[in-house]
Amino acid sequence: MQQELFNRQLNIDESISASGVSSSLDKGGLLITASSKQAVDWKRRLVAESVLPVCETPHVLSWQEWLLELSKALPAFPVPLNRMQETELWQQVIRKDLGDSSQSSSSIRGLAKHASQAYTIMQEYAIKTEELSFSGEESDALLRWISGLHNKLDSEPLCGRMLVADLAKALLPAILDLCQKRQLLLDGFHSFTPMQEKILCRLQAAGISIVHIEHEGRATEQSMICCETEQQELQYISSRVQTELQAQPQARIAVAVSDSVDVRLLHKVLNRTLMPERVNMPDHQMLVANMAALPLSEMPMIQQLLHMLTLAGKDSVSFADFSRLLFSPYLMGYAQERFDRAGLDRTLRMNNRHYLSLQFLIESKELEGMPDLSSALMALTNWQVNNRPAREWVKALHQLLQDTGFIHISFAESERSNHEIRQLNTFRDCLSSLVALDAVTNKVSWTRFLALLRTACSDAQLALPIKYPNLSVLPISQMAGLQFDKLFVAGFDAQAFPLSSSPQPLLPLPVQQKYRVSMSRPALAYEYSAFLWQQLLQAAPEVYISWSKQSGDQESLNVSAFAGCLDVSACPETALPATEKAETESFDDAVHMPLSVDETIRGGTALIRDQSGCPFRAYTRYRLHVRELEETEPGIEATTKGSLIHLALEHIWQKLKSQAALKAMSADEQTILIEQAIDDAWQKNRSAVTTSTQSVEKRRMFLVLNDWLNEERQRPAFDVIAIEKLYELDLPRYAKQKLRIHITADRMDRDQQGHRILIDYKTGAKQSFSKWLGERMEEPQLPLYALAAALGEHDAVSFARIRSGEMGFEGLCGESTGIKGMTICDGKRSSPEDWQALLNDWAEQTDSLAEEFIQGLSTVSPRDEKACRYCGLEAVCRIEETGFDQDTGDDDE
Amino acid sequence: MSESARRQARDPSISCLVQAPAGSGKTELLTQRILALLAIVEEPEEILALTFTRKAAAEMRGRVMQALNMQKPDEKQSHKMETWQLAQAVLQRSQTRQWNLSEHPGRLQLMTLDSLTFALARQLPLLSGLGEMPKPGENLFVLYREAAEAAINLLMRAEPEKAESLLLLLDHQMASLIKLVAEMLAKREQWLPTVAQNLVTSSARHDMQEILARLVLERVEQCNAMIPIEVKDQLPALLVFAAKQDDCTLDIKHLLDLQQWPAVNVESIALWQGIAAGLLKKTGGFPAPASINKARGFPAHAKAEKLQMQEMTALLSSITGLDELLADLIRLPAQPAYSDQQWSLLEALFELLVRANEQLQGLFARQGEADFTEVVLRALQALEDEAGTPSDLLMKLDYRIHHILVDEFQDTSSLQMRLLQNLTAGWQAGDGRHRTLFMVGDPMQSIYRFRKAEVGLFLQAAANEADLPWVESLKLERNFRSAPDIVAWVNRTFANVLPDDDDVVRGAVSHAMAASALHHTGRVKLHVQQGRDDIQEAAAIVALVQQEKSRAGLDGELQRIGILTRSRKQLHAIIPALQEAGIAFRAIKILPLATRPEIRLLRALSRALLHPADSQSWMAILRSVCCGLSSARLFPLLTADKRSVWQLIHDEQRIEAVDADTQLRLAFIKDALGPCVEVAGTVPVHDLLATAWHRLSLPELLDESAEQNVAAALELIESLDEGGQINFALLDERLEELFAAPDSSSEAAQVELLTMHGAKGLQWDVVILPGLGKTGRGADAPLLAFTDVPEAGGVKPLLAPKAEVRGKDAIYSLINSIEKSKYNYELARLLYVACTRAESGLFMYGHVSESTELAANGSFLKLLLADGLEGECFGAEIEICEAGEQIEATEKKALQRMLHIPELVTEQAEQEELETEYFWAGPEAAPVGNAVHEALQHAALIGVEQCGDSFMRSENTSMRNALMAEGLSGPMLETALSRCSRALEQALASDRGSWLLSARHPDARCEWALSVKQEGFIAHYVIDRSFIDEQGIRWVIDYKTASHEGGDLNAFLSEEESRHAPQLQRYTSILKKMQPDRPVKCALYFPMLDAWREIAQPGEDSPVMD
Repeated sequence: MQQELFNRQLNIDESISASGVSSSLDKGGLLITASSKQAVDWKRRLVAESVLPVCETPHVLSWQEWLLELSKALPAFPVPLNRMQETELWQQVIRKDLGDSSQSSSSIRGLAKHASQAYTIMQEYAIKTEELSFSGEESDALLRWISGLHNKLDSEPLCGRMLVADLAKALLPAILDLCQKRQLLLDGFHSFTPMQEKILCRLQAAGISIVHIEHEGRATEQSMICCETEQQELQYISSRVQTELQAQPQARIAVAVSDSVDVRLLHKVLNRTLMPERVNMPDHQMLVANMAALPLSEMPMIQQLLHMLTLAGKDSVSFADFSRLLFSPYLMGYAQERFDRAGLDRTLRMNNRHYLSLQFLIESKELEGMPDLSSALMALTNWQVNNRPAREWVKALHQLLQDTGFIHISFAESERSNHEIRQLNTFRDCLSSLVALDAVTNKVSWTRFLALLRTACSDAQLALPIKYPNLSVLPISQMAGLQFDKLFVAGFDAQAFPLSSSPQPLLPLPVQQKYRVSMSRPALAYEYSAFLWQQLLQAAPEVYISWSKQSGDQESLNVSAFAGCLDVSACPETALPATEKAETESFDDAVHMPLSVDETIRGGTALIRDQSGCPFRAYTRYRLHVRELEETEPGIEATTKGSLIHLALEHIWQKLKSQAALKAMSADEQTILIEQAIDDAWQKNRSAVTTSTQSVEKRRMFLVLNDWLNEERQRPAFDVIAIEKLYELDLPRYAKQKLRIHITADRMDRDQQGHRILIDYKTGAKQSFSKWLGERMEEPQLPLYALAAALGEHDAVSFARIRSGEMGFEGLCGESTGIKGMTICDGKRSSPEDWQALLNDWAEQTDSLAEEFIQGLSTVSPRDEKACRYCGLEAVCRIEETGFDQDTGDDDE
Repeated sequence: MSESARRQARDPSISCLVQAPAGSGKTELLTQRILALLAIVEEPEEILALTFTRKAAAEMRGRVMQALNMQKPDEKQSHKMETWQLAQAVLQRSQTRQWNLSEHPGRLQLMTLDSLTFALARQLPLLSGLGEMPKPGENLFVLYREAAEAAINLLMRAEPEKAESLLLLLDHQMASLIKLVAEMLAKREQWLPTVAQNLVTSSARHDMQEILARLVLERVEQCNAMIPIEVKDQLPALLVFAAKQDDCTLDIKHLLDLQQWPAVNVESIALWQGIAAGLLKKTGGFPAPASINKARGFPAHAKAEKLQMQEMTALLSSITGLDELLADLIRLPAQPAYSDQQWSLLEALFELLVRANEQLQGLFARQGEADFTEVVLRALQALEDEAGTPSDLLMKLDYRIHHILVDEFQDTSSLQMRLLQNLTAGWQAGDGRHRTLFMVGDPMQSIYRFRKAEVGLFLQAAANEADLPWVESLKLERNFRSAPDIVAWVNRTFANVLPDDDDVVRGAVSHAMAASALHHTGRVKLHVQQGRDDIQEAAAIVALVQQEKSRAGLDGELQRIGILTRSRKQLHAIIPALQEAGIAFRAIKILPLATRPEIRLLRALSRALLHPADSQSWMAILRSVCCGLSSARLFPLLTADKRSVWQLIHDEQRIEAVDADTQLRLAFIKDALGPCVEVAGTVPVHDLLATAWHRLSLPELLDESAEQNVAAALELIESLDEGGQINFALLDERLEELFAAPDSSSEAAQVELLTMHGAKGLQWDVVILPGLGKTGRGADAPLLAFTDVPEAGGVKPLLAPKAEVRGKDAIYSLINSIEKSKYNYELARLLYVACTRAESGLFMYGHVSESTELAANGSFLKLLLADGLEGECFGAEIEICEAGEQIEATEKKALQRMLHIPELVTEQAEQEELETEYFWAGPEAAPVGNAVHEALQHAALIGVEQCGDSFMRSENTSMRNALMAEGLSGPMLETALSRCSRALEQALASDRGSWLLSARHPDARCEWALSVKQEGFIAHYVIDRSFIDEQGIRWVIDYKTASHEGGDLNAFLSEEESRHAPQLQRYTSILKKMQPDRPVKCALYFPMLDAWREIAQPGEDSPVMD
């Protein structure tokens, strides 16, 4: 394959065998490879051939390394811009050219990458800029950008610098002076670009011997394995690798993967098979094989660091962002303040602090006992975000990281693991690399600097120790020229191989095809795939090719036709040994834990509601004080809205005292009263909401209260005889040990017939009175009020539903009160038959529930399925394990 | 008919749209069409076949490749022979044109529409505005929500009145507004162009009001056409009579002046609504004769009028569909116009939605991921010019596409249709090029509205009204799947259930008859229960499954059974019944993971480890199977103390208060989780949890399926990791979308449980449809009602904002009713899909109301048994049974916990050499160090003796270049360079430096690259400087360019010495291997300080310090 491709202008007839490379190098030859990976492999092979335990490292370079080395020999040679500088320059040119805001910063970044690649292809294939003219908007734009870039490189301060892509062309005139070797050995090239050909032709013409390396046809043993699923395939490979390594610990093994392989899954399976002990050491980070490591930006420490930086200099941060910061183990003083910080998080959740002002927090009492957190937050709030040169950002940021504890000031305070030290070292390299921006920009904004830092951290790979350095995992496309003892080729299905063509988007397709730009058309992709296939077959004496018939949601994949001639064998069973099961026993979870005399229980009607819903819930909440962590939500919470309405109504009725007073007011007077009530409510309830939210809520309150007062005008006349009256109800009534329930009744009215009407404001959903009846009441609030207020046969209880669009009363009474929504207990419309009997029944039921609580009943026995709906204790009560009536309720689609 | 249609459809010279009902051999037809095209094209890439799923694309590719590799079939197998012949022609073509098609199947452009749009957008990075292709994100609701929240906050700051009006619309429930806006973002392709346009057009209100008037008029016209002439003559007088009655409670007082039948125009809408109100019950439908009473304006004494009204009502109630139409009339807006308040609300909404979209764009850019809607919108943007007409950019694509095939065309969305229109826009008839379009699908199987499929597009395309190339409309009829009895029943049933006529606007598709091609016997049976009883229904189904699974199917194998329901939850009752009966089954995407006990425990474990104050999660662990403390035992541990549970269980006093077994179990938890608590937050959450899970011995305590579920949840957790932490709200949301892994045993494959949506494309010997009597759950009302109304030459949008909370809005309802009818029509099609999966047996189960004996409105059973138990089900066998006694629920199981507390073995990490943390002396330190190293190397190469002024000059240039290459510039470059120069000058001038860099040493080396074989591996090293001194000692010197200012220099050097000693000792041992007899010494040289530290070999005394 290689041979025929050399038959162009460049004529490389000469070849030497792989075994002769060493002596050629000893005679002053230089081995140049297509890739740097191959150069490293050649060094290894040559050293391995040596009989000495220590030898000088052979001089083998990749093509690109060779050019760079040559360029350094010329002091006056322009220094190429580094990658970051070049990318920044392309972006500047593109941003300026496009001028508008139609492209996002990520799009500009992508366009810069495309432009840089397109320019490199143009240089390598000697494509003239004229070829791009009139070929569409994209290539027109590329032309403008190239011109813009050259203008920048031709003027100060960049005058005298160049792009890496220009290196070969710039070296060409001096190549003969620079290349001191008599012989160049080439290996791993599928084809040469016109620029490479030019260089080699010139050297050849000057008498330098150019030879390629002839690989002896290795007697390869090839097997093909068909697996049912990807998981099975990867498990098979991992198990085989394990067996090979056990037999030959130093064997060099490669797993070459196609694009259809889920590499992350492969890593997991390899980890599980080859490093089973790692499950016990989550902090001991190591790679199982020589493979692409994770980007630095995915490391916990760096993610937390970058997250913290996004909060630097901000006045207000979201709770979600702040909570992440609170739990960062790298933030100053975490070890000492860990539990306090968790407590703070819980409190903030409880108070629904969806947004937080850091400054406000620092000055508040909430941070008491957490001096380190305070100090770190102070450093963050003091962060200045005005534009600066990159070098200044770098230094200031390093200081900020010290001030917040991410970087320790001295090694003495450091108790960091190797993994953490590696993360920090690599991070510092990334941070330092950003000073390169100063060559191409003046001042950088904080946002831009942070984005660039993030990119640098994503581009950097964290070097981790490798458990099996002799095991490599790499893509098939990087296999050219490499040698191993054993090779596994994974995911070799017809979809993944041969490779598909991948033309460069900014260069016109006809131009790419005219110049035979690699991979630009299916035929070229096929040609390159055939080359790779040969390389795979030569890569090891034993090659195991596999594919899975099912990958993801794709089924019945075929093997690549390249491997079609090999005999197929089915994947042998590689099931992992079954886990030995441990014995279990059942245990009694229904032991009562009676309330002791000195145990203080603080509870209102919710306690009885919980007890009625499920004794376990009441026990957990009121005896063990275990509560669910809440989530914050944007805006104003329903409970806060409700309590504001309560406060406003308290104000209003304190003023009015009767319906007559209400009716005597004009509309304007009513407006004034409501507004005063709203202001008063906000004075009393200082919820942490923004001014704008407060303003909307005030408006809503006004509408709701106005509607409600109009509703109150409609009912029969009444006087208000009590407002927000406190009751203490001791239950059970006739027992020795009692449970004290604290109750605040919103209001008590008396109508002209003398009925007392106990009213509870409800701002939530409709409550049918069926929820107040029965043995275990769903909603025992009004029954408890009735008992506390000792209501009699002429009285009534009712919810006042103060809700936009749904105003009204929902209550029960013995005699008609004339209020719409109040149901008389006469046995009609499913109502109870006798009001007094109901009052008695309520007393009994609540007594019984209180008794259960006092007895310490904690069984998991919910009233019905609905009682479990919003409970949130399922993980604790384990009801799904013990069994529950099958849920066949509402349908979901 | 079917065969000739097939022949035409295979013909590569014509464009066609093929309606291929269930079981009609569509895939074979597509394969043959592709082969036929391959035999005539210049390059395979000229053919583009589009599918909706990757699975379908892979299947299609497999079928084509299979055909290319097939052996010549028997002459009798005519359809196989046709395929073989077509394939042979393709192989010949491939050989002639060197396509290598058999080896390179990737050249077949068989892809999903999503992949195509992705490829288009990638190929046009500038025009699509996707310079950097985003990752296709599938769970982006969190981004929609974030964008919505940010947009509302911005609107509150910029235009508080608008924000307030929208928030008050929802009773100031910010979270609801955010959710509704987020939902709108998910379908922004529907409204974005309209909304963006309306923000700038002043005529928008007028345009939409015109459409509104037209819709209102349309309804009135429909109604008017259905009412018999005699009713028109007599009814006005009767209604006037009723309106005059004091006791009349109907809303018809405005009809008092009604002299005659009202005019058919928008202005008379109030009169029309009055008539409708006078005729219908408030709950809908016509009143029974007895209900025409004084409350309806006909008191007992007005006998004649009453009789007349009763007759008229009877006449009208015999007209099918009139009651619904009249009810619709009542709901129509009184004025076909937006009030100012409505319009300003709409404008506020537009403003908010546009801002939300802007925010979303920003988030997409920041996250580097986007939804497919975005990619399609961008691809279209690239393919269209500013006026929205297709540009000639298609030239840029790999090859000109000449033939397009679209599978499952009934699932096309309007956005995908636009793409198809663009792709075919340049296809001019008569330009000498042969191009074809082939679309195949079944509108009766269009059930993916939730994925934005618009069945109306199929109907438009079939009528050649879709702005696509002209196509021949063909229909396949033969059914190669079901028994004739089933085919006949489906024909009878769906001719009734599906509408009589197609309707593009409302997504109505009429039924197309099928003809059975098979001859085996089949059975259709409906099992109706009086009153709902899920447990009884499940028991009946289990009995049926037991009976049918032991029978042989057509192929001689045991019958395969599919149990299909409308919703997952409907299967939840059947699963325990099957388990109880010991029937193995495969429930595909049915059981939500979130409610599995092992997943609840995993969640609690993650919360407990990551949030020390989450007492509830800690309690869950203490009560779990791996600890098993009862509520009573937890009491002395947890009560009356606000500290975290972790702190409490470490409190000696509290521990002493509990019994020995509890102490033992607590000790286990502390030992198992202690190391995890230590590292929580510093390691990936997945790793942390895997360790904790393992240390708690949970794999040994749970069964294999639980372990599979845990693995799936851990995978999800891994994808949500945010630097060792996790957003639990998001985890909960995503867990809802995961389902327990199905039983993969071969035995379980015989009985499959799926949703009807999931069953599309599949078939079973026996199909069971449970729960047909149940209704679906209504969806939340969207913030903006939206529909497209066809107009001459296209469609026009109509929008209305949601009514105030718990209120109603007539315009909104009108628009929503169009969407609602699309929903209802699709529901009937879903039943069609379910029924047509059956090969030999179709068994249906449902319940009717115990009292009325009718099926619930909105249920499938209502479609099959419209008249309740009195009616029949299109000839299906019917079995009626009464709901039995509730079968006793199984007894509760006791809670389990581990019996023996396992011993924990602590793994020791392999000893690793301690990593050295950098001294950070600023960003320039490393470049300076490298440049100085290089300069010292140059100096040593020529020898210090030769290093004069010219050397310094040339080295200054080299060092400057080296520093620039490392990115330094400006003042930092100059400072760094002067540091380098100073260091070099200092080294050259000092005695130590001169000695080190002298050329007089024998065997001197600089940057000495050595390779070593160590235990079978090879390692490479580079030694800065080495030589043999006068005493014959081999020196190994490492340059250290760290500088030190102030403080204790000696301490600094000692620190450096201890940090770097292992490295130098390693060098020494390497050189000893090279020359075992040669004494070797090593040292650090600090050119910045001109300092020197000799490093002692292990076992030696420290050498004298310099």
